[in-house]
Amino acid sequence: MKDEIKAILEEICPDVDFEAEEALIDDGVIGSFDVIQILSELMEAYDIVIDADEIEPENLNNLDAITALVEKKIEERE
Amino acid sequence: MIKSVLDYMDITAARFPDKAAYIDEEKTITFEGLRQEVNKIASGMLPDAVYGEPVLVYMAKSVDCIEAFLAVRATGAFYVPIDVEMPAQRVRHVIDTCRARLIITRRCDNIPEELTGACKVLYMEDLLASPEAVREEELKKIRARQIDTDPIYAIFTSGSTGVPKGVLISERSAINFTEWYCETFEFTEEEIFANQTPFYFDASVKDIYATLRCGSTMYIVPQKLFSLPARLVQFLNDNKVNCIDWVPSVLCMIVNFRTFEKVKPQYLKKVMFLGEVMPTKQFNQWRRALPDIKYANLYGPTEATGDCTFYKVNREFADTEPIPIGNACNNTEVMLLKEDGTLAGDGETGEICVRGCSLALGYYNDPEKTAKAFTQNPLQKNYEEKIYHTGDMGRYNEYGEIVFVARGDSQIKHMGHRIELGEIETAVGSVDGVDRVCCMYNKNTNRIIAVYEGAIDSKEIIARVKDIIPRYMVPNQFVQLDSLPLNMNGKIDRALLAKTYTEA
Repeated sequence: MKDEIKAILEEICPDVDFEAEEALIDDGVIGSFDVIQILSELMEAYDIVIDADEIEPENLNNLDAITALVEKKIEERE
Repeated sequence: MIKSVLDYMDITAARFPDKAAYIDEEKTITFEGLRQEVNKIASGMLPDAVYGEPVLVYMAKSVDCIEAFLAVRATGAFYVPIDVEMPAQRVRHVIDTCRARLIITRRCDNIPEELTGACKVLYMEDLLASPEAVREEELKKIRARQIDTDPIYAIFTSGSTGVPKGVLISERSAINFTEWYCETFEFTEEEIFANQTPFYFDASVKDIYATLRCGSTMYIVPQKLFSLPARLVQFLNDNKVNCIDWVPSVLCMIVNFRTFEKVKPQYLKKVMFLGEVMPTKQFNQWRRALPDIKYANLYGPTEATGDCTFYKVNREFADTEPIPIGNACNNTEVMLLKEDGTLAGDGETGEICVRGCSLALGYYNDPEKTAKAFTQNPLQKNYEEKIYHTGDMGRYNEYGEIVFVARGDSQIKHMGHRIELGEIETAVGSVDGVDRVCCMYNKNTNRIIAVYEGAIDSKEIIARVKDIIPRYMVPNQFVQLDSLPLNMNGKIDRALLAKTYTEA
């Protein structure tokens, strides 16, 4: 799943190294429009709903955190 | 009579000396504090700044940046805001185009060395810390010389041939806009704005000068919060923000993630949206959640000081119905012109053209592009009068309001940015190994797609174009073809490519 998510992220932000970056939000590596696109794409791809209060740096700062968020949302859905 | 935004500064500093004017994460400045710092910075710039010439302001969005804008004006020069994220090569284009000789920045903005070599660089910290006294007399003389047709700023926008063009705006246009904006939306010193738009977008002119005119307060929202909807709304509440003018993408983000189920803005009274089309579905979600707020749609290009029409929402809209861009602002006339130069009739589509006080002085140092975009009003045969062709198509609805229909050319709005696809094509095409390229935009997925011919991997292209164009212009998707299809005229068949890659 991590690779799948990475592919989605890379398509939205082709210039970002998602394997290396650890603080995507805190360091401003990805901007607000990127975040909107990433979350919308993930919600559509995995049929999940991410709520406003889950959109926090700790859930989005790196590829592992984003993957964990998606996995948690899939579990909740099931 | 107001002839410069500096008059707003002086008048408001006298009315509300101790009231907070601008606030960012590091600094709060009062109106009197602002006046003093602006004059101090301007005094330090006097030996280098030249009346009527550009000064680049290379600073991240901050209170300091606003002080720098006003200080540049106090020297008689005009300011050119530069996005600190912009690749150095593109900044060089800006420097070359406007033949700038002076940059003001701060050490924390880490200006690239290759730029410091191109111009004289002044650091704001040094100017503020200088032991020299404020040069009151010299500044007064400059103020006496200033007239309202002098330029206030040049904002560089994407240019189709790959070189950004500098839209030069006069004090008169900025003041006319500010007066109209404040009167129309009944702003007072009670207004608390939360600025969203970058300062290198003209939309920021609204907040900055409305604050200065009315004695309001403007918060610069920390950039990170625009990725975090619940915290963003909490920020509005914590600071009792009652007025915002934000791009629709941000307003949509707030409702798309159901933010109002967790936290609602408590003080918000006025919401304006601008810069791109506001999707009606999301707008209706805002309205259902916050029915007492006054909403308005603003429309206009940088060449018309950012705004030439407005619509105060006064009726219900079905999710499928577009929100009109409304009617002309004060001292401005908007005409829908057909290709033959006559006015579009009821139900007909025409190009949105503007005449009046809001029109830019032209593109700085570019008479050719200026002549093409600013032409003689075809409806006025007897004297010289310029109109600006926006390139946007519009029509009148049954209420006599203008509705935006589409772009008439290859300009797109992507993530709130105005982009010429031609500029991306020029950048991608400049990479060794790319033979030909055609860029398109898929509005449904918000993706920029580059279809290219050439023996080079897309990753390599990305690595190279990052140094030429801002990251929001880097294509999201690359398609490598053996050869691009041609139409009957031997040109790249854009229609076929668009059908294949953007309508799938």
